[in-house]
Amino acid sequence: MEAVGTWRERLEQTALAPVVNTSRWYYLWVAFLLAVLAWGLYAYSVQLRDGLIVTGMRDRISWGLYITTFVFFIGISHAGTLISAILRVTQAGWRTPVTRMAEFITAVSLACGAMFVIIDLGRPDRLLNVIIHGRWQSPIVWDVVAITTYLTASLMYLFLPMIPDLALFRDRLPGKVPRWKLWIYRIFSVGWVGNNSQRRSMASAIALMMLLIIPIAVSVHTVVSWIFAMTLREPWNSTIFGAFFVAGAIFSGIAVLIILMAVLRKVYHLEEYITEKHFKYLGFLMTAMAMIMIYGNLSEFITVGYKLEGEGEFHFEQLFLGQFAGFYWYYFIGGLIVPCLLTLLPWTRNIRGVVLAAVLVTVAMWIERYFIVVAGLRVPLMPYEPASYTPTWVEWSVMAGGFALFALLITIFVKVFPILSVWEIAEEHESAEQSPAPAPLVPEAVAAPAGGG
Amino acid sequence: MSEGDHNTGSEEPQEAPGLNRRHFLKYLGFGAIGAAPLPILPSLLRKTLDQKTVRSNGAPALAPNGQIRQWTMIIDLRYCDGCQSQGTPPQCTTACIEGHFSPEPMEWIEVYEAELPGDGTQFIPTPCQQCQNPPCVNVCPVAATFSTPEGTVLIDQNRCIGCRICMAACPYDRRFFNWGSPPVPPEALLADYSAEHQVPAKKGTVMKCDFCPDMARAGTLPYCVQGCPNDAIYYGDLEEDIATNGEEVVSASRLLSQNQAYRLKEDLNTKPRVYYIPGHGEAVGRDAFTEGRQPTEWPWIERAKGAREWKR
Amino acid sequence: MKTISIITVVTVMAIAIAGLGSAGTANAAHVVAEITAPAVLEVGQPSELQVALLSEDLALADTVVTAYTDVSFAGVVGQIELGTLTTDASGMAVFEYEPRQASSHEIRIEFLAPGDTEPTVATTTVSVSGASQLFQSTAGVQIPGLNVWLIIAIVSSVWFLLFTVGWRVFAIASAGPAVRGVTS
Ligand code: SF4
Ligand code: SF4
Ligand code: SF4
Repeated sequence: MEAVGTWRERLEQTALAPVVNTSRWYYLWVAFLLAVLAWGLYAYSVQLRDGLIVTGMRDRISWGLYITTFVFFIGISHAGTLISAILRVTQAGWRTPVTRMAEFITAVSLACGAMFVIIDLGRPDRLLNVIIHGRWQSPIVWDVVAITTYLTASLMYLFLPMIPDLALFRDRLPGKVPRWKLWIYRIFSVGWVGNNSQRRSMASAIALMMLLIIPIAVSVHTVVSWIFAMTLREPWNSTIFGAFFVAGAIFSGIAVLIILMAVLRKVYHLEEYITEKHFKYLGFLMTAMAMIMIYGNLSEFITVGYKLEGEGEFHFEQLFLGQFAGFYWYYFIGGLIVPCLLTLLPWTRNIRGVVLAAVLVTVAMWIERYFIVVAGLRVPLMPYEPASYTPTWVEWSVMAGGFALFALLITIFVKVFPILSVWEIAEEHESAEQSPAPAPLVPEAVAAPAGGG
Repeated sequence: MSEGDHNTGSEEPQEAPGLNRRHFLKYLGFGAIGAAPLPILPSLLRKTLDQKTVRSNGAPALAPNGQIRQWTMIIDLRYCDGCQSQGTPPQCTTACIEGHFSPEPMEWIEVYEAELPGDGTQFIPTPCQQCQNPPCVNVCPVAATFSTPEGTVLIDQNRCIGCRICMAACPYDRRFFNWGSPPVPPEALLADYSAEHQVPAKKGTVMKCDFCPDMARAGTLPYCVQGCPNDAIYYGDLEEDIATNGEEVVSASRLLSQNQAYRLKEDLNTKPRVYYIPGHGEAVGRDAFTEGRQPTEWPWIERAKGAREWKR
Repeated sequence: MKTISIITVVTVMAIAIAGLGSAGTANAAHVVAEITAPAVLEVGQPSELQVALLSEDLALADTVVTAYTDVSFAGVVGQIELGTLTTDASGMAVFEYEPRQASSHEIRIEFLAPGDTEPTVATTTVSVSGASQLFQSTAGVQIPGLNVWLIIAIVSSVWFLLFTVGWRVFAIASAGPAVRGVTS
C-alpha cells in the first residue's frame, strides 16, 4: 500500500503541476497566439465591413477555405469520441491517460468549427434566422442540430469524468492558485466527496454518455458530409460520402490527438503516464483508419472512374492530373500510404515516427477537405470556362486566427483543468497491480481521490 | 472505502442505478422540458419578433376564372442568334439587367454558347429554370428561397443568411451572390423591395431570375421576353395552356409537342418550368458556325458610385 | 351525356377571284360546314368537336380542316390552333377539345374547299364553365411516417437522454455534503 501511496502522490503532483507552475515560455506562447488571433480578428473585421468580396470566393466557386476548415475542425472533434467513448466501451485500459486530452480536442474543435460556418455567412447578422425560420428539410439545419447536440454531449462527457479530479484540485490547491480558479473548482466539482451514491450516479451517467456519444458523433460527420452529398454536383453526388467523412474524421482526430499528446508530454513531463505504448497503439488505430480511407478512395474512384459518367471525366482530370493533382497525390501517398508505413515498419514504429505520421495525416486531411470542397465546385455545370479560386490574405488570416484560437483554448484549458484523468489512471493502475490479467469488468477498489485530501 | 465498491462499475452500461419508475418519470419530465423548445421555440420567436411568413408580393396571379397561373417559359432556339444580327449584347440579358438593376456581373438570363455536334455552336439563353423539384429550395435552411403556388422559385433577400448552400445545390449555375455592396445606380435604392422584383440588391444575399411574376400579374411580359428582338422567348401559363412571345399567342402544349421541346438536364428530375425548342438561330438566318457574341454590359456602372465590382 | 347540337350552317361564297380567269372551274361550290359541340363544356373536360363538311349534300372527304379558338394573354390577342385533321369518308373531322378557360369561346374552323384558293371559314361559340385547377406539379415520394416529426422524435429522445445525464450531476451534488461545495 505504501508503494501505491507514493505512486499516487506523484501522479497527483504531475496532474497539478501545469496549473500551479507557469513558465515564461507559456506566456510567450500565449502572447504569440493572441497576436495571431488579433490579426485574424482584424481580417474578419475587414470582411465584415466590405463583405465577402474580400475573399477569393465567387459565384462559381462559392465555398473555400472557411468551409474546408469547418469540415476539418468538425473532423478532428472525433478524437474525443473515439478515444474516450469507443475505448471506454471496449474497456481498453491503456486509454486512461489520454482520454482527457481527447475530450479537450473534441469540445474546442467543435466550437472552432461551428465558428467557421458563421464566418462564412454572407449575413452573420441574421444568424438567428436559422432558429426562427429553420427548416427541418435543410442539411444546414441538420448540422446545426447535430453539432449543438454533439457539443452539449461532449461538454458533458468532458465534465463528468472530470468531477473527481476537480474535487482533487479543490482540495489540494487552496493557497497555490488564484481565487478565481478555486472558485471554478468549487463550483464544478459539485460537492464531490466520492461517497458511494455519488460514485454510482457518476458511473451510470458516464455509462449512458459513452453509449450516447458514439451515434451522435457518427451522425455529426454524416450530416456534415450531407451538406455536400445532398447536392447534384458530380463529385459530391455520392452515397459513400457519409461513411467516408466519418472515417476521415476519426482518422484526423487521432492524428491531432497524437500531436497534442506529444506536445503536452514534452511540456508537462508526462513521460511516465504517456508512454511509447500509447503512441504505438494510437498509431495502429490511425493506420487502421488510413486503410479504411484508402479503401474508401479506391471504392469511390474506381466505381466512378470505370464509367466516367457526366462530368466525371473533367473531375478526374483535374484531380489526378490537373490543378489538384499535387494536393491529391500528397494526400494519397503522403497522408495515407506513408503514415501506414511509418507506424507499421519496426524501425520507425516509435514516438518520433508516429508523431511524424500524425503531422503528415493532419496536413493531408486538411488538404483533402480543401480539394473536396474546391474541386467539387470547380466542375462546370453549364458551358462556361472552369472557374478558379485563390484564397486571399483575409481568408488565410482568418483561418490562421481560427487555428490560433484552437491552440489558445487548449492552452488555457490545460492551465485550468486537470489534463490527466487522475482517478481513472489510478483505478487502472490499481487494478493492473492487483491482477496482471486484462482489466476486470468491475475494477476493485476505485480510488476516491478527494477522500485523500 | 471498500463497501459498496462492487457496484461502482463505471464500465457497466446495463447497470443504470436509479432508473426505476419514479426516477424515470422525473427524467421524463426533464426530457419533456428539454425537448419541448425544439418545435415551439422557433414559432414563439417568430411571434415575438413579428416576422412575416408571407414573403412574396400579394396573392398568386389568377387566371380570369380563378385558377392559379402556372408560369412557364419556352425558348425557341431556332430564333436565338445571341443577338449576332443586332450586333449588340444579348438583348434579353440587357433588358433584364436594366429592368432589375441587377448588379454586375449577374446575368440572371445568361446566353451560353454551347458546342453542337460537328463543331458548330448554339446560343442558349438560360434564366432560372424554375424547377418544380428545386434543389435550391430543398436545401435552404431558412426558407429564404421558396416555391410559390405559381410554380416559380423566389428568394427573399430580407431573410437570406448568405450561406450559399443553394448555389452549391443549383445544377444550372443560376444563382448569384452579392459578394460586396452591389454596384447599382442611385435610383435603384429608391425602389420598394419585394421578392418578386429584387430591387435594390442587398449585400451578402443570393439573387437570381425571379420570373417576373409581378409583371405577368400586371398583364405585361417579363423584360427578357420584351427585349428579345427575334421574339424567341415565349412566356406563358400552363394552367391555361397558353404562351406568347409578344407577337403571337400559341398553345403551350402544342408548341412543345410539335417541336420536340426539351428541358435542360432532364435526367436530374428537377422538373424545370423552362422549355427549349432545339435550334441554333437558323430561323433568323444564323449560320451554326458563326461563333461568338457581344459581352454583356451593365449600363450604369459609372453611376454606381463607390461600389467595388467583382467578376464571376 | 345530354348534348344539344348546335348546328351552325355557314353558306360560303367561295368566289375565288383568281379562279375567274380560268373558265369553267370557277363554280362557287356550296360547301356547308356543320360544327357540333356539347352545349355545356367544363374546364378541363376533354370533349369532342365534330365538324361535318357537306358539299351540295354530299360528304366532302379528304379535306384538311384546322380549328382555332380566340385567346388573349398578357395583352396579346390572337388565336391558338386546336388541331388540324382530314375529313373522313363521311365528311367528318372530330377534334379533341379540352377547354382550359371558362368563358364563351369562339371556335373557328378553316378549310380549303376543293377548287378554292381561299380558305373557307366557319365559326361557332361555346360556353365553358368551371374553375378547377388543372395543372398540378408535384415532386417527391411520400412515405407514411417518414417526415419531419420523425427527425423531431429522434432529436427529442437524444436530448431526453442528455437531460437524464444532466440530472445525475444534480444527484451527485445533492449526495455530497451540502456545506462543503459552497463554503470550503
Ligand atoms: S444563401 Fe440564402 S437563399 Fe441560399 S440557402 Fe442560404 S439562406 Fe437560403
Ligand atoms: S434553376 Fe437553380 S435556382 Fe432556379 S429553381 Fe432550379 S435549382 Fe433553383
Ligand atoms: S423572367 Fe424576369 S427576371 Fe427572369 S430573366 Fe426574364 S426579365 Fe430577368
